Amino acid sequence: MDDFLLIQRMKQGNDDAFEKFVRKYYAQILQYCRYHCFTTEDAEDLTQETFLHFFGSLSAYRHMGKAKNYLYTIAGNLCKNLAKRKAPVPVEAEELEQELVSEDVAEQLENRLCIEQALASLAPELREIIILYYFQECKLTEIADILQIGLSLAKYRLVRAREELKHSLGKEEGYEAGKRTAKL
Amino acid sequence: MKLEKELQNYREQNRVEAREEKIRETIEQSKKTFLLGEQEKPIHYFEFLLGQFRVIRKRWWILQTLTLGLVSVGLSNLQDREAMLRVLGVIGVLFVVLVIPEFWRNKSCDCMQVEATCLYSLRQIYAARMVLFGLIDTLILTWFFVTISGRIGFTVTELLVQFVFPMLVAACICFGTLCSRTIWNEGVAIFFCLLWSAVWYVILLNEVVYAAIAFPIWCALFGAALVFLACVVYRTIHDCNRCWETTAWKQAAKY
Repeated sequence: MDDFLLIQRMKQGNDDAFEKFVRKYYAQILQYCRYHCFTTEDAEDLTQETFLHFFGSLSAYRHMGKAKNYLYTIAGNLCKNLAKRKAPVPVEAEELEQELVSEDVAEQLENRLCIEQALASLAPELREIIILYYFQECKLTEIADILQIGLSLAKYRLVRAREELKHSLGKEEGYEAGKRTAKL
Repeated sequence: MKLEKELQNYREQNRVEAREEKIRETIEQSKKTFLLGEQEKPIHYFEFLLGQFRVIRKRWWILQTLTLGLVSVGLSNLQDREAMLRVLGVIGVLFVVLVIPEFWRNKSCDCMQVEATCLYSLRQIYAARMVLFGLIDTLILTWFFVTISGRIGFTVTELLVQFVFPMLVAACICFGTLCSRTIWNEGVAIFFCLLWSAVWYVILLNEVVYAAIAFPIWCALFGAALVFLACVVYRTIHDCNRCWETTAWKQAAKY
């Protein structure tokens, strides 16, 4: 069902519309929050908070475009607030290697940590573009709407984020390759 | 290309499955939040006006329209212009008299205390009813003026003096009675309006008196009636809480 109709029905207090709406966007918002949180529990809490913020001001909400973009905007702000409150917990690659048995899994985790480090090295606005474009598969026009920036700026940030990410990952790979050679 | 692949892998590895219990919890919490927000937020003034429109009995507007419709048909059949003017004067008063029952309904139904407990104050309720009556009556009167001006050829000045002026005075009597210090019932207002109607009729019948009133005097009388009406309307809205049963009872106990 179209968002406009769903929102109209929710404003009239239709229970089914609430369920449909939450189910429609829950997974996407949860996934988005997960990229900004350290634990799945935090992501779940943030997702719920995002929906509660949305429904708290539903009667004042005027549906002009996509409700999804508005949800992303709320979630983004909540994630920023959480990031200010909570500091990241550092996990060393060596610690993980000790705990893991399979080498494949260890390698996978190392790659994951590399990307996470590379993402963490990006400026927040560039990281946000990568998350929305590659992980959430949003269109550039949607990203511009969510971040409330112009389309050209969104394009520019994407190109810059890609370049910086390649540069960071290049460095990481160089470091990893050096580490493996030393081990041998 | 390699970057895209790596990011794709990272995305796959980080996929989170939404838990059903969490979804259900979010749905329930969302409904509660929405309902809580709705409880705290007073309705929009336009919605409130619409609500008041539903509450007001429409029979008075129908009667007003029918009265003016009949008058407009009757006037076309009258040949004597002076008789037409007299009819207009009496009808102007009757038009206002038809508003009285609705404004006295709160008093006659003893629902003041109930209305005082709702989200909007009694003052806002009175103001809303006046706005609604003002809007609908303006529409009805516009239709009436356009019809009789086109058919009979009355000028604006004639309409203002012969119809609007007695109507204004009748409205002053109504609102003056409604907001007076003594609690009157609607019968008193109707009586005074009819008395005014008789006085007006006598003035119109007496050519000497009628001819003696020059145009500037009409303007002054009209202006004075308008100012007085504005004052009594303001007083009605401002002092409407005085009409409560308890206040009225206390006043009665004093005397």
